[in-house]
Amino acid sequence: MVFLVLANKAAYLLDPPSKRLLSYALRHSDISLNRGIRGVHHSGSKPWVDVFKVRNARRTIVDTRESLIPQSRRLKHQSTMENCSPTPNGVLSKAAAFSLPSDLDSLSLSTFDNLVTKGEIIYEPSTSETVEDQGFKVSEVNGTFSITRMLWGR
Amino acid sequence: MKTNRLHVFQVNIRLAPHLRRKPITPSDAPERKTGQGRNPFLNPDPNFVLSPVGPLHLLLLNKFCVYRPSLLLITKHFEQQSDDLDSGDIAAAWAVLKQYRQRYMLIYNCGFESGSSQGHKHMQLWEYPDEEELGFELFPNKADSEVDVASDIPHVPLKHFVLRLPPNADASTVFASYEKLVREVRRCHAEADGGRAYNVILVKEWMCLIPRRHSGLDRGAGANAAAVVGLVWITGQVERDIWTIPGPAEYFRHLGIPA
Repeated sequence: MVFLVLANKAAYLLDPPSKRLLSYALRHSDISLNRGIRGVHHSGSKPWVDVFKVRNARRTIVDTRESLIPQSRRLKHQSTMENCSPTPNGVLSKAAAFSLPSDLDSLSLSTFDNLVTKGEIIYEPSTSETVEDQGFKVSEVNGTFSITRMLWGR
Repeated sequence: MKTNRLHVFQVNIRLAPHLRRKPITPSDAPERKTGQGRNPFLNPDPNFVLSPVGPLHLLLLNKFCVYRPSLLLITKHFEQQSDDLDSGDIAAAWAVLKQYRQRYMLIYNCGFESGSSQGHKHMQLWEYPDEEELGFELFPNKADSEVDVASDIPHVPLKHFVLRLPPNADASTVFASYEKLVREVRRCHAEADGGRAYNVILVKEWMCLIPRRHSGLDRGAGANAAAVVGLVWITGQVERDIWTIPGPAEYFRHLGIPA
């Protein structure tokens, strides 16, 4: 887990390291860069952020230690860290760093159905057929299957 | 399915007339460069939003749907649909794919010629199709290596690049695979037409990139990433004829770069 701590005012998750994420963090902080971000890199197994010429910042720290996160921010990130688990090489799972609803499957379906009912989502059940490129229609997907010669065959 | 015609190129053509109502932002529209103007993703209807995905992405429901449900993973701030995915995009995509209990697939149409309808960076997701019902296996499933890029899967009529993903892959691994595949796409385009557009299809087991030359709108039947792995959406008979009169393989060669 990698966090960027800026002037003791904000901690941002940089997992995976991303120039765009760093830009976002800086936009929402009270510091600015006068020469931008040089890069976000992996060095061995430890990602690091290469920032230079930071203005108006009392300190800029990039570290992998969770202890650097201020308490208030630690609470903010807690839910994102709960699901992390070490991988065999000791690096925390990066995909697990996002906090998503645990019932995403049912939430997706119920919200979808609700919006379809309201007419806000444009959806109608569709029919399909599987075709080959040698002149046969192979299947009709409406419960039964058949094979029919087509006129467009080659 | 019932035919075992494993050595014949097959596609599934799905009739979805309601897609006629879906707007397509022209390739030269300023919205594709600036995000301003008619951009449904810049401040999406909150009723459609399912969840933030990290600080930079939103997961929401698609307004124009072929499958139940159809989802979008968008960047909160405007980024161009013609940009490559970056590590943050891949991490968000991977987190969402892993979170669904059902098997989902994710696509990204990079550039107008890849079949993208909007200029604001967005990925699309829906449940992986039932291959028994389709009657064939999506061809990227046939790739067998996590290291060596598969680019010659038999009977696929257009250039394609596929890597399997290791079990328990993390976002870094997926991004590394993506970068490897993008290099192949760049090389392929450079040798063929100098274009940049391509499709991404990502599932937990593999990632496939397909370089694109034409959106299909030039011939009257647009095609996105789903189409070029065999999941074709049409709105009516005219589009069906465009696909089937020359034959799907011939149309694929027009959309992509002939294999």
